[in-house]
Amino acid sequence: MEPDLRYRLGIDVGGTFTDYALHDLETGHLTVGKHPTRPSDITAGVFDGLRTVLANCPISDMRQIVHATTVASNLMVERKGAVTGLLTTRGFRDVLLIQRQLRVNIYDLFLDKVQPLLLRRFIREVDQRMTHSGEVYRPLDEDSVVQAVNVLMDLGVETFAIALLHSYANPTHERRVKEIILDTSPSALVTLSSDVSPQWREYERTSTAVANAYLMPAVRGYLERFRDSLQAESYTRPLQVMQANGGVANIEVINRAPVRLIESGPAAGALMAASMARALGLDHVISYDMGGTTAKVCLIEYGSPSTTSQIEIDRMKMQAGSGLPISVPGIDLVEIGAGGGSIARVELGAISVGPDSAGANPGPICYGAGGDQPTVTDADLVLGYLNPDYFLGGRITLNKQSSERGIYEKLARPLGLTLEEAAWGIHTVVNANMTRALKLATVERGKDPRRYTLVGFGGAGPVHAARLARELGIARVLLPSGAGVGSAAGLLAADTVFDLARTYDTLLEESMLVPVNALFEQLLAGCQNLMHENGVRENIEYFPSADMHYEGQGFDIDVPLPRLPLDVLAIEELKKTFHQKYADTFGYAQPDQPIRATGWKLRASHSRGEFQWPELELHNSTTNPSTRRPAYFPETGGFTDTPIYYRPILGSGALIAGPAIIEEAESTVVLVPGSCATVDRYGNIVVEFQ
Amino acid sequence: MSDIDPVTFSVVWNGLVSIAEEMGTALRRSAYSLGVREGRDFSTALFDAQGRLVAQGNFSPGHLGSMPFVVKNILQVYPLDELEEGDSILLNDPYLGSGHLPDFFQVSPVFFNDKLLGFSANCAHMVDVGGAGPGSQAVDSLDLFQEGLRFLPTRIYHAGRPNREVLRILESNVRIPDKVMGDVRAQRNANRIGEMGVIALAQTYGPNTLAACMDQILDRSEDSMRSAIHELPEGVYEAEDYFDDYGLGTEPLTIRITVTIKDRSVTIDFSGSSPQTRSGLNSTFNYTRAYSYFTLKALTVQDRVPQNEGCIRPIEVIAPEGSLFNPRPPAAVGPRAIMQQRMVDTILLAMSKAAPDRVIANSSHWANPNYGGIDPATGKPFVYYEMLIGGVGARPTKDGADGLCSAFNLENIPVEVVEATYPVLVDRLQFVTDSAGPGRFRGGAAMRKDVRLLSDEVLFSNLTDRQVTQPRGLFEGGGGPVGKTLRNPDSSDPETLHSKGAYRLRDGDVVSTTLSGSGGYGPPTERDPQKVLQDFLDGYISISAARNVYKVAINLDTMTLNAIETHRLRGIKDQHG
Repeated sequence: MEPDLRYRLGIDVGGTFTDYALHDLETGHLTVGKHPTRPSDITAGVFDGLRTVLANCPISDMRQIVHATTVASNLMVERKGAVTGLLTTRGFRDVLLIQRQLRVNIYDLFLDKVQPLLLRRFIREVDQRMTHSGEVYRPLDEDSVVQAVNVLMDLGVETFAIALLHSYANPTHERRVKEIILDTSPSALVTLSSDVSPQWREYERTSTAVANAYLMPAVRGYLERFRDSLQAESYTRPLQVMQANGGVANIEVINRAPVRLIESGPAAGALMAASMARALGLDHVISYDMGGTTAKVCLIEYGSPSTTSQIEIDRMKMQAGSGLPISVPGIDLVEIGAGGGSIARVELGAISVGPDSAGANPGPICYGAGGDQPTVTDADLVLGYLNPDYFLGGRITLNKQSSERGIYEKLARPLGLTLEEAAWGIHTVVNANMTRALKLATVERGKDPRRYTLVGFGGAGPVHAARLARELGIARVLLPSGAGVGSAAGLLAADTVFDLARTYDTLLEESMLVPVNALFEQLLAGCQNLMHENGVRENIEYFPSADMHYEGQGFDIDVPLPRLPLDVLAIEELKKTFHQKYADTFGYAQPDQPIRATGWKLRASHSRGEFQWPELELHNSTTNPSTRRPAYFPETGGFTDTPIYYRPILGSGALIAGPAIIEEAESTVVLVPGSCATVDRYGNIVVEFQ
Repeated sequence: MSDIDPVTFSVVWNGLVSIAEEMGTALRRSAYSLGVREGRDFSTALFDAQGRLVAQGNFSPGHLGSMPFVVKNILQVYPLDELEEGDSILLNDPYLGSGHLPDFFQVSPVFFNDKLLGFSANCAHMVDVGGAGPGSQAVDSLDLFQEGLRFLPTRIYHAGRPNREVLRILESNVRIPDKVMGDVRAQRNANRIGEMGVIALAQTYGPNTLAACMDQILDRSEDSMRSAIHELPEGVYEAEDYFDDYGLGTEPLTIRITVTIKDRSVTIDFSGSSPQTRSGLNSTFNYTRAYSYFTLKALTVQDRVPQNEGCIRPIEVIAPEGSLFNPRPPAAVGPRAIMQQRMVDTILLAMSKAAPDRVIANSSHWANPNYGGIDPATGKPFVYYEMLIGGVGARPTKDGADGLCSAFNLENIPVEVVEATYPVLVDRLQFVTDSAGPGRFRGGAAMRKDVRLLSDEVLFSNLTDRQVTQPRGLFEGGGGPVGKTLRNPDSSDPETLHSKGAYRLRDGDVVSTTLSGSGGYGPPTERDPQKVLQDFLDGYISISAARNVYKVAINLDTMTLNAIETHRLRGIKDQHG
């Protein structure tokens, strides 16, 4: 690395705001900033924001720029990708349309499936067939390919996806089809399902390949324009982007596999929490990010966010199985419709909150922008948790009277409650919803939440975190400073990471050693190539693992492999680890039952060195509140005269007992009675309970 | 209103639903059979101390009719003072349970400081419970005893310990014992999770508040259901439809429905339907109730009111004893699942006069044939349950969905997983051109699946319907074409297989199943010509159907609408000349 390049820059483009984090490697100083996202021209908007945040330091002084963006997710949700053609096996034209046929709402007679990214006319069949073991059952009829391609070209297809049955077991037909397309049209963009997701389950693999093809032209255009704009300002290094798996990659890799870019934004927050967990030596952390529309929860074990092998886009009411499945590894986020903008109403005499949200526009009633449905933010305002004059650092003045009126009319009066009881009801019910999400992320994965530290951030996270933690029996809560923009700093903490996976269905026994070791040689070569493309040639760590289940049972458990290549002894170790992990998750193991492995995975990771979180310069062990106001705590009998602290003047070592409120521009920390907070050396507020 | 505050009430309610869902997740994750794991053929529920269904989690609608009564049925055999913490009672009697033997219920009491809080229960479909045919759903069974092993309420876990003697009987009477035993264990686990969740609620809010909340949940659900029923016009509404038959050489069966809406209550009466049959095609009264409740909820409150005993109170179901919809034991009942869609469709058809903007046209159906034999690769027996899911009937405001579960909730099993698990090769799985019932809004297209056997001496038990009487359209919408089953469809001499026949098949044989199409809504000639063009371009309809059925002309050279010709076909005078 050239020593003269002094800064690292993270840019996280979200739906409403773009967050920036600038790390000065000389002084260790971290500057964060926030600027509205300009949907009509994202790149131009980002550069406007940059000028504010960077002030006088030139882009040419950046050693590294990491970018997270919702561009790929938005293209899919809005169905604004390219005209895409799909080639499938004869007889299987409708895989993408049939989907998995599940009803996400059993009673809704008007229910529809998620709309695919392309119409049936853009799907054509070719003559060929593989078996599940990768043998050619029917050879590829090349004439049928030429015919199908010609039809699609006539329809104006600019990007092709090829998804043939069992191509995960043998990709030769897909590869040959690609050659034929390129012979006809050398400039065509072609995605093979066996490249982007060589895993079984034809709908999910096809969906992934189609999404990749669909995104490719626009994502390429976007990233290249972004890079060119940076280069025009003399940035000489590669532009890096965040992938769904939480690793960064150069844009050249993403241009080939744009599906990796989907959900890159939400990943950044979990990475920030993971980096902080590593800095503090916390082995068990729950990252809890509550924004305007949703709350996202992620488990972080020993500094690594948990990952999933499939993500989903464009879900209906956030229900699993209702969206477009994408089989790329992603950070495993449990997301629910519980945010500051979540709408509260009366249903069957009970208070119900979300999953629908007033979002940022019109937003909660108190924004005064036309919202007339009471939201969580309105309740938090009425309860005295939020400061009407210091929301988003005073950028928006909140109208408390209108929140009161809304909550009274829509909830308190119909339920026969007082205003504060109704507001407290909203607060409690949304917390109960989030408790459910937190349980989903822990208990249902066989984890005990009480062993974890809850890291709360996002605009609404620190308001709710302490109470949630207490309900779940979580002993410690960590609230990083700059809660609303921490995710941009997460980008700077990311490693270069690539995940490759392949399906090979086998019993865990000696006969699998030769094919599995050969498979891993391919995965290893693939990972090495990706690392080389990113300029990484050494200090690469490899983490091989496999999805395993008891023969005949379906639920896969990810088990790390002890070493590569595998040998007979390693198989025995693997079995032992699997039984143990199964018992940890389900409470019992079945040592007599044969074990089957299907998904073989290799993660390659290169760390650029741990991110150095800047330490607070200010030290003080006592502090005085800047003001006081009434805030609602049932433990102390309702509205309680509560000290309000201003976070930027709290130094490390500061000690505050709940009930108390700590304000900063990005969020507000609510300390419940019986809790006690200290400020640690990084400026985190650490809450513990008596 | 009682003295429970609405906030506690909200949180407890939320908590109960959440616990029932957690039970479902646990069951699904640790289950063995594909039906439970990938097909989601299971339900979970919580009951109060009086045995009333309070909250249901993940569920298969077929279990709705039995769930509300299952705890009471079990208490008949095991009075409260005989139950202990850690007990689990198994029940699969079709008349007390969910209508056929493969549906295993397990019910566990929940105690807190020796006080009964309620019950945790679940129901899951076992891959096989013995009997004459693999999968225990053979149509040609003459009575229940040919269909497999039956359990009246039987304690299989006592104070946390498995009842090994009973479990050994189970194990020795089913075809795939490791899967069945695995699922029985998974069911026990799921109940345990329910128990722990309810106990935690009692610890936080106190057992009395919990009981009061459960009471309130039922009353408020009932109130909402009654208000929703009140929105439907009072009156008596009738409809009739037919099942093709109940086996080779048998007569069609009548389903006759009279819906009466009066005084915030609904009566669904099956009188006038055929008598019970000497076959497996009989719907026990619990099963009949299940789909009656389901349909009424879909028409009214949908999922806005949770499924519990309160919301079924306003609904009375009548079916004469000894009839197709309330057979007397020991009538066989194994394949009753294919009857569900017809009940829903016929109730909706009756209600089409009362609520034309809420009903949908007849949906397709689903077929549930199975293949049993010896897998040549392993030398072990296999049972391959096929689940073929058709489409949804046209709606008043839009087309029906192609290939989506209608009155049930199953997830198909990926072809790639099927082929890796069973000795078969799927030749095709696709929509059939011109198979959607035409209409202003068309029905869902029909599905065809061809399965090639890679194993000899396979016993194929077909189980489908709608090969004689078609799904009907509404308000001049066309019906969906009937389906068919063929052996070796692409050979010179394809053989038609009966919809409920059993056949021995050979290595290389192909079974081709085409489901029916779903019905259309409104006259086809009122369909937006642009939509007709789009359906043509997407291959859902042929050029001749566009012209002859929809009266829409398409220019094949430019693939555009021929507006003038379309006007002529539709008999509309061109306003400009």
